Amino acid sequence: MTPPGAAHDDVTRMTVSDPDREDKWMTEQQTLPRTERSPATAGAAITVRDLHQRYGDFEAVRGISFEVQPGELFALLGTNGAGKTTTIEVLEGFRTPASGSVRVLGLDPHADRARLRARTGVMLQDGGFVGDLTVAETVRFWRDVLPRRPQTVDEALARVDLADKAKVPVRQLSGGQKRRLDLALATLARPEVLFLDEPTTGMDPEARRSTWSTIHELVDDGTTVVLTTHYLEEAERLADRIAIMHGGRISATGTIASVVAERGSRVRFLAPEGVHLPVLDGISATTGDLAEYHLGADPAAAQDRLRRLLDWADTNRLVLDRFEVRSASLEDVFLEIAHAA
Amino acid sequence: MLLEHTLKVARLDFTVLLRNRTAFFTTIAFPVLLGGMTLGLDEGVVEGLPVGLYLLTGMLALVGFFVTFAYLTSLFTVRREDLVLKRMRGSLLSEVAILGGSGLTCTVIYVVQAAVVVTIGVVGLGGAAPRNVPLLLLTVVLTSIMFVPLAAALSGVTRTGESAQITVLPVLLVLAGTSQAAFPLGDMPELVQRLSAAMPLSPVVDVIRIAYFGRDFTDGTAPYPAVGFAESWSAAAPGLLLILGWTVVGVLFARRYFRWEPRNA
Repeated sequence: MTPPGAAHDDVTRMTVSDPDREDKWMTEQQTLPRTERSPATAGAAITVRDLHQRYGDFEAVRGISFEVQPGELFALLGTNGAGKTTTIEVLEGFRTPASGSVRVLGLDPHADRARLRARTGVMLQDGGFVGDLTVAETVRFWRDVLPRRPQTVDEALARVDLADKAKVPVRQLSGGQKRRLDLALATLARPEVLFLDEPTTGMDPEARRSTWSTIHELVDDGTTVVLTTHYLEEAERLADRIAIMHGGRISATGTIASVVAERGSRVRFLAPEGVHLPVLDGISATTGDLAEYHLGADPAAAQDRLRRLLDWADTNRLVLDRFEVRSASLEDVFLEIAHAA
Repeated sequence: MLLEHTLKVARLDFTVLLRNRTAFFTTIAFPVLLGGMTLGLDEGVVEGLPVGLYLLTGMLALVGFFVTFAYLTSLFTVRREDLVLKRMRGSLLSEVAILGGSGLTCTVIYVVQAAVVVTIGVVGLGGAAPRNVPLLLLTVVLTSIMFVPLAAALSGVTRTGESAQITVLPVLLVLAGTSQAAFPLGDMPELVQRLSAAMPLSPVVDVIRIAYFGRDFTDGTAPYPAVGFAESWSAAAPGLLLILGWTVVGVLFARRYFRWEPRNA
């Protein structure tokens, strides 16, 4: 058994949170039944190893592996059809993996779903509401189903700013309001692990911000969160670590800083007219109005390329207008991966 | 936990049913209309029975078809397409509680409807009270249970709530036609009679009439022999077994055809 002190060493968020929360976290750890903390998965809240998933002949997920630590927010990014929802649905226990292994809190999400569902919360990508029920009735129904009821209906609605909609039939809610109701339902039981499939799709900017702060609070309280999104800003705001999926595989994973650093920095300037741009170490510029070179992840090589670019400009007596060296943004990485054939 | 969850789902369904006009018509208004239809029929004899009561007992079985089978086929289809079933299945609710809760609502409504229809028979048509009320009640309950998995199976091949009307209709025609609910099949060829007798609604009609009239309608032709309270149970036994048999078949079909997630997913 891991001593409680060691348990939160690998929870980076805990090291910056206040002592009360550390105490709370330790209490939760200690109340877990021993059998559910098998040595293979001690530490990780979620473990995915070489997961494959197919629909008929179409292989939606082609061998992915990752781990999510307790208290961490892990974001799965990718274009539509990248395999995000399929992956999260395997974690939620809706589908069994075609091959590979998946563990959530040390349990098999499909085979042990009855035990696991008391400890996890699921926010579907859309739908799942009975339109004739009011917002309050919907929350009441799902609350009544729980063995423990840590929140009242009013508290749950207030948390997602839907208190004023309590008596409105769900059918009449906007898309963003439905997403917020869904978040309220997913978190009713104060789950240890929360799965959010595109939680802010269809929300206006204000609702999105308020949802982000709700998710932040949950993570601060020690909830482990896996979310899928195609909003890069959402991942930048919320995620401790990300995985960018494309074509059923993970193309990049790690903290945003490390994913971005791997792609290296780039230099950009207004392309001078009538001049052929140089090739640096076999790397040519992408051109439009702006010429851009990828300098690569190795700092020494990047510095060398940059020097030779400036030498070329001096030799040709050029002043490079709007000259800019910057590191890759998450958007750069995302688009490069999405456009890679 | 299972019972509690089943009751919660049943309560949810009842709330929704009272708010939804189509559902209200299918399960509350239409069945009473079916029973009421027989009120004008106070002359004539079919199979040794007053025609009004003959039809009324047949309608008693058909009411179960509408309240349980037709309603649930549409409900399960709509809930699947709206992802409600998926959400429920992703919760602590067990599969039995999800489907059984909706079934329970129908069972309760069917029992109440049956009481209303029987009252129409006794008061409106001047018939005697049913001879074997417990048997009648048991049949109503078992029939309702039988239709739950059968409806789940049919919903699996039904695209939308609207198309449920199309998939249910042929089933209605076959079951109503073979059950002798409205007309006897005594003049049909032997093979047709035997096949008809094996269909799901046929034993329901038979056992309801045994319970209501205290006569064994499975024994030869009219006039059918009178049976006492105890004998009516044994006369009903083969029919009850057939209802249970169809329940098992329904479960097997449901395992094969029922879907938790939208058909186009």
